[in-house]
Amino acid sequence: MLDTLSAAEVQRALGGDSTALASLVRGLTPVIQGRVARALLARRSGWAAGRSVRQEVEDLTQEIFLQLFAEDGKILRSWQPERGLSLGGFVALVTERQTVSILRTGKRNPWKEEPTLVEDLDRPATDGGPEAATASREELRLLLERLAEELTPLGRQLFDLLFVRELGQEEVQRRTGLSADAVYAWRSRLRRLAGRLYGEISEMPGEKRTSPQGWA
Amino acid sequence: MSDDRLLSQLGKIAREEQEAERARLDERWDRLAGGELSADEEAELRALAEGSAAARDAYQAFSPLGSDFHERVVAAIEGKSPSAVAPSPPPALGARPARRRRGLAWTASLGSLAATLVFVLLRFVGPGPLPIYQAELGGGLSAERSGQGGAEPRRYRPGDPVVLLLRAATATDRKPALRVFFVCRGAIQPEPWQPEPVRLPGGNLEIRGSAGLDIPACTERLWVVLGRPSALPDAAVLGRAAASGKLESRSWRAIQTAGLVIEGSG
Repeated sequence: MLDTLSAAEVQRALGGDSTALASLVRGLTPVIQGRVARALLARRSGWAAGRSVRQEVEDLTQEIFLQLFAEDGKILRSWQPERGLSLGGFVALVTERQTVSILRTGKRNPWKEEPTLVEDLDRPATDGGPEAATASREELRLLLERLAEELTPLGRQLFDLLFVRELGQEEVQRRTGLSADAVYAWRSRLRRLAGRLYGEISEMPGEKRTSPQGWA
Repeated sequence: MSDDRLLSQLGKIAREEQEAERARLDERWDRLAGGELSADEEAELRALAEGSAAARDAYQAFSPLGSDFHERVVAAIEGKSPSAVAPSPPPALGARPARRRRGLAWTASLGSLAATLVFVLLRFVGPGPLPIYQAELGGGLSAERSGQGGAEPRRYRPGDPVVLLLRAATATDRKPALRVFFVCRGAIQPEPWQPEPVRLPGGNLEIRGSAGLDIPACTERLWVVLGRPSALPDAAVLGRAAASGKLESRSWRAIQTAGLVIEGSG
């Protein structure tokens, strides 16, 4: 069903067409529910332990829907099918990110304004230094979670293509429709963001590691 | 590539976690949420759910959210009061905003609750009397939607959420202990369910479970006993009380719900 939803139908739903909205909600519910369920079950021993998982799934799924449509559908309107993500893939990334944020902080976490590509390209690339190689698995897990919270769906998509699937530059360009410069800028942006977050994590109370130079 | 060392490490961790996640909860669970499983696949997942607490949680978490949920979400997005899409919202809860965000699902679902049951005056021995409670069943298919009369039992499909509301006629800050007993083939089953109710504004109590999992497939109705934690009756005592019609004691009271049917239970 989700496969048949076009960008035009999403626009109709955002424009107040109740039939289109109902169709969109029916189509997106399993996607959101599945991602919420996975996140909740992975954290079951901590957050919300003892509560009905079914109720938590319903509440969080609804919360994600409300976030997608908040501010005149700002998040949904940012979906760009030409970047290679299906609507379901886009909403899945949004859900993962928002769910992690809600579970970690109990709050919504609106995306920060992204720096422009020009700003990115003007900044020098930074090196991770030896500290990066010795980061503990626990630190990396925490860093990955924080990174997921910070990134927009497009940023998350780029991280996935470049560093999880380790696709080549040309393949990433082909899949996203981005130029070589834009992909390069995203590499730089991701590197800088990871470095900054790594520095913040290293400075958290209880950590003896010093903040690595050049990452922030 | 030294510039990307940290990101490469993160990518490796992400890959490993994705693989572990797929091994733990494979794609069948996502298709369960989408209602796309074959009967055999669903039976496999149900068998898993019966074999471990973790799989049972997963089954509840991934079981499809139904049309009631869709209606509530649409109403919430459109900025309508949840009660606007509900046939007959109970005024006592519908006007309360306290659980609006986290509990929107609940307030909206009240409209689809089957009107039922028994009012019991709970003159509870304790720091203050318990109010009159009304027990109502929700979730599943309403009698109207299933094309049946209002006196017909409420119908559920396996995996459907079963919502039990104990609605206080007057506001209270009490939260008594409770047990839920299942009636199968006319007999109160010995093993009670002891869910943790959610206390709602006004002292209403909400219990949620899953048809066929928390609520056995053979269940025809529920008994709820409320009272002192140390004094709640077992099935035998409840059975004698029900037979005699004396549904209250010094330390507990019992409420019976209307009938229900879990489809496919034979």
